[in-house]
Amino acid sequence: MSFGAVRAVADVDFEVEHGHVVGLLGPNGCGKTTTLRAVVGLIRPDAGRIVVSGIAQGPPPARAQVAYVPDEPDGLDELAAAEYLALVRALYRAGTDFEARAAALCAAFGMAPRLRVRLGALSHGQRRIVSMVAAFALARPLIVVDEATAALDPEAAIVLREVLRTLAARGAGVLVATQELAFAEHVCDDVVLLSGGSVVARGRTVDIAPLEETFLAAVGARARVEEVRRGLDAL
Amino acid sequence: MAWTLCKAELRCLARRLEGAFAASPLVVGGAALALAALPAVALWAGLRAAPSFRAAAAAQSFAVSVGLAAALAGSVVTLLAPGRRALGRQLEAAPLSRTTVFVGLTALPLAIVLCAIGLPAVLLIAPAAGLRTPVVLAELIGALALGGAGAEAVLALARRSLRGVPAAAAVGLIALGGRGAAPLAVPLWAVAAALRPDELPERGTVRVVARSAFGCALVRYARRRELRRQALAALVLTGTGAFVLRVTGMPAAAGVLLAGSSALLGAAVVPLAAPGLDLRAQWLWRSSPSSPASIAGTSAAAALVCGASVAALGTGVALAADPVPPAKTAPLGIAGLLVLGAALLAGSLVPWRSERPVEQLGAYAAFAAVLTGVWIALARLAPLVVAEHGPRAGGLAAAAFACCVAASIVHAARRA
Repeated sequence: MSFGAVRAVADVDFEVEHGHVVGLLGPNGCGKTTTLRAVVGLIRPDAGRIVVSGIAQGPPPARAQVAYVPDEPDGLDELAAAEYLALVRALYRAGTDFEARAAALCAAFGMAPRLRVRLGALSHGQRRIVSMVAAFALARPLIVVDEATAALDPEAAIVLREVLRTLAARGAGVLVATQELAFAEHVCDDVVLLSGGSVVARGRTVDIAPLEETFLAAVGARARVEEVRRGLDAL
Repeated sequence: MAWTLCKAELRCLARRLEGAFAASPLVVGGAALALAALPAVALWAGLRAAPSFRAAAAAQSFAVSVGLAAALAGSVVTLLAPGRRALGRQLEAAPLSRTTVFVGLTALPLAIVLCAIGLPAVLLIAPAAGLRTPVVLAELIGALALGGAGAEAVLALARRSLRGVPAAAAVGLIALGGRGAAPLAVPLWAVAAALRPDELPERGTVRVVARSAFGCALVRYARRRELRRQALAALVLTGTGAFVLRVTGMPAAAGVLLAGSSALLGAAVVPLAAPGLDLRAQWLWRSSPSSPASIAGTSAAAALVCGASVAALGTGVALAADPVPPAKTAPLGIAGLLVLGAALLAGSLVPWRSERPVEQLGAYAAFAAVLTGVWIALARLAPLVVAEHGPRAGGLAAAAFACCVAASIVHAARRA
């Protein structure tokens, strides 16, 4: 995938199986969000293909297989959280059990008292929780979460961890991009480490933990720390 | 499904209007009253202008001018059409077809707007057109759709899609077919809009050219995709209009002035949008030690320079298509001052919001209201100060421009 002359992501190849949580890790600008946007069908790759539940990604039937939580949800600021959930349900043609799942998720995240609040009046973290509730209540075969813990308070991050594990236990495939290595260690069965738009390491989390060591070694950050310390002398 | 989308957008719009009314009851209430009075005003204007309309209708150049104005409006509406991005980052990934998104977010809202302005349009046209009113309305809608289809064709070509080729060819054929063929543009526009190719990813890397606050403001406006699109559409229509008006026998200077006016309207989009775009960086303005007036003044200057550049380019295009002595374009300079000043003031009163086409149309409506107000005020003032022609008229226009810019800066600074 390219933006003008800049190649953002190349030779990325991985699989998210039912019942598994896969973590996409990597430094800022390494192509995590671009990869996720391609997986949900928002970007068409220049080469290669993305298959969701046996359908090539792109057209509505393939998009319908994926529930997506963006890193910074926006738009439709004037709708109340409950109205937004109803709209998501209608657009994805979700069944009647959507409401029960949404209610359970709202209770878990502590969002139930704020369902009548406009999206634009919610904090960034609360808004992310609404988009998580909407996506998780859809119960799709693949759930894609970008910057999973961004803007979440510690309690919400713990709830998210439990929710993702539960969704995977119910058979969903979960693809999570995150910067929080501790979160990834707790949640992910497998991790894919991106750097410079390519996969530099991958494997089962238990095999390559502690992730911080693997991360620093894979992206060459260990030497960089010393370099940064020397560079900061100028301050 | 399309109606669900449309309802959600309308609900958001209604709540934004509620909020705007709570914040400025006088302005929003006045605008609502003006809208309510529109049918009566249209009938009054239609009755007064009917003899002139009837006399002018015989000239082909009059029909072409009106058609061009409608086509410009159609291209603006098309370029404002939001696409699935208006649904936000989460719902843009929803499993919706292009047709559903087009119908829900563009066609249905546009149909509602057309129904709302249908009555005033009929009351404006009927006194002159009589029994031919439905035909004239159909032709106007056809011209509107032709402009929209033309803009869709250009968008498709710009996005490197071959769908633009048949669309452009069909637009050309319908234009050659004349007034009778214009209504055929409606289905063409609908199909072209429903098949609009996806936007190409924006180039992230740019050449670093801005080193000052003014330079940064200038490149911020110049790099906005939606502004570049609208300016380009106005330039294309300017060139086409100047050429067509020349072919249809309009006197050269008049043709250039008319075509140049579309360039001015296209140029106005930059100062109209600038104050709204600046709102997105308000955290920086508020935390900066610079005075709000100096920040607003720098942004206003940059927006006016951008707008003036587009206007100058458009006038050059019109002159190239239909050469006349440059001195004959002096009225365009005076009109340019008024248009750019009014656009800046309107943009600070009704901020332009990216990806919210209704607010953008609201900004355009405010622009029309401010420009009309300034025009009427100057028309009354000019005889009193003996400034109806020549350099004194230019001085009066410059004074009006300065007042508009100052008012805009004061308003923006207060808000910051």
